[in-house]
Amino acid sequence: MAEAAVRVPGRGDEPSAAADRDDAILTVSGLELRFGGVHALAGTDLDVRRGSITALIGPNGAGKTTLFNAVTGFYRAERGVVLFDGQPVLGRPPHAIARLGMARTFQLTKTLAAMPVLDNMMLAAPDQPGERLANVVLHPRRWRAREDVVRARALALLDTFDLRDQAYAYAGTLSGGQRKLLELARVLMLEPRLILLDEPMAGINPALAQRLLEHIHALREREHVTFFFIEHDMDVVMGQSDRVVVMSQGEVIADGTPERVSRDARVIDAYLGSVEDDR
Amino acid sequence: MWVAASAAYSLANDERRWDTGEVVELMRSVRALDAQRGRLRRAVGARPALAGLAFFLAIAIALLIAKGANAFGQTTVFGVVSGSYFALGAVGLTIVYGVLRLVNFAHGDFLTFGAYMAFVINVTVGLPLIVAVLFAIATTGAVGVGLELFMWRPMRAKGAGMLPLLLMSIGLAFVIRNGIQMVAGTGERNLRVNVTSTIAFLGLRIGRTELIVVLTSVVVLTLVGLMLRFTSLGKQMRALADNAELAEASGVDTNRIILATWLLAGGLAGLAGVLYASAVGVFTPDLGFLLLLSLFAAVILGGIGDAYGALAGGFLLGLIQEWSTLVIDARWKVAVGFAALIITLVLRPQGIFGRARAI
Repeated sequence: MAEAAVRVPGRGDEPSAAADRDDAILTVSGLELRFGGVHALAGTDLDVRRGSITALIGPNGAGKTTLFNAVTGFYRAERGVVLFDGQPVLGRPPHAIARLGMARTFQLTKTLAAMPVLDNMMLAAPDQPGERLANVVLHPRRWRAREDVVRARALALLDTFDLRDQAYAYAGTLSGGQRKLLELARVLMLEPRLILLDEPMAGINPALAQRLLEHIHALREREHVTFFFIEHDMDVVMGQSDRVVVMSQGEVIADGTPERVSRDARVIDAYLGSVEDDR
Repeated sequence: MWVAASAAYSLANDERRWDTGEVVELMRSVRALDAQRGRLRRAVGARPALAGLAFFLAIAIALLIAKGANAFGQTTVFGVVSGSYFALGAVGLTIVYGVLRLVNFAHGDFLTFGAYMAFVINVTVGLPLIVAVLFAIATTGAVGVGLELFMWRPMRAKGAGMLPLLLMSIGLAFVIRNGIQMVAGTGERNLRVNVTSTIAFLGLRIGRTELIVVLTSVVVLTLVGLMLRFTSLGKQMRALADNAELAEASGVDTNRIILATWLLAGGLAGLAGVLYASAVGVFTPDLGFLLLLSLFAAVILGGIGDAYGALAGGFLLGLIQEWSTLVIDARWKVAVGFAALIITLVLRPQGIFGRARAI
């Protein structure tokens, strides 16, 4: 991981900051993206520490989802550097970034409605030799063995998320809550090291929110998955995350522990203050 | 309702005196009848494809009884022959729509292109038809891929909407057709196939070439169906048709799948073109243009974007058109096909096999 620090010259001058950077699974520096004349991302800088649960907060239009889209390759940033686990990923297509181990979910839960839940899961499995018809015909045994491994993994994950009974149902028939769970289960098929969640708690009941949070903490403890999530619910942000990144107008204005961020004058002014004004 | 009303009417107007037991019995049977009608309606609603099939079979049986086994059998054979190239062309058209949401008006001219490529190898060069068929599949597939790389992909990257792409495909149709006319002329051509020798079975005739056309089509369509259903390429295609963004986020290289889609659609179109030219015997640069509307009809009949639907729609359309010649003049068979399409859509806007979408 020393490489990561080497690849970001001019940054991390203080020893403590350098140590932080060594421990970053995601490093974003000077990221810029414009929509027409609007600077959606105006030189965004941030780090996500390995193994952390990091919240990304900010008022509406701060550029949070835009940042997710730029980092995962869905939007093409004009300038800047994005390092995932020390590897530059800017300019790579989204599917390649997902395969590297940085997975994401969308603000509005998406499923492949016309396919069974199990197929939704298996689609995200890496390296399937069954992609070519020739392999199915010429090496049926090898193909089937690989299929069995993937299927077993998908079913195990569905078991964890209490979706086992729905494995052969069309994803379009699932309830909203089940779709939320499927989304997280599917993302895990990619065997990710970092998961970006765009408002995972939006529009779900408290019981399901509690279950999702339990899954997130369990995955962090057992699989060492890092989570970076956009959230508006301050109780979730302050209670569940180790670190909080605050964005406003395309820039990061604060970054640190929930306690420190909640006391930051700039955050109170730009974010919490403006929320009070809205009400 | 109607049954109940008429029963009540006859009850009121009947001179005979009814005792209570009889009335109760009558009302019970009326209710049972109504329940049966409700069940039938619900059954039709729940299984529209099955109900459609039952209706279709009823027409077939009626024609069989009215016109005799031989006439019916012979038109069925012709229907299957034209259905086999309708289905091949329609499957490609519908897959492209499903994956890219692109209504490709140039698809018919892909068929023409395939037929002329086969002509070059089969007649100009003089190689056997099988070589010509493979060449037609390869070159038409390559045209599909080339157009994706140089036309559709750059347009998508610029964020072009549905209408500009639709207009481009119409323009492309003219470019391909006029290009072929420029090089090959507008006259009639024919491949070196035997269109006169026929095979007889059970008193029915089928051209030797026609039989090969049907068998080829069935084998290829079965392979395509298996590919879509079981291989991960097929699953990725269906995933892309379902939600492109989610497919990409799940690690699917959507650009590669789109290329594969064009290769498949182009190859199938090329094959369909050659099969049409072989079965019919003669062809002109208008081949695909004239077939295109029938292909659209087959696609829409089966539910747009649904490959299995297009396959069934193709054969259904072929059968409807040929069977109609038993009742009315063969000149009107295309119109009959479209009338069937319109009736189907009025009853079931999403097509026979299409699912009504909530979103």
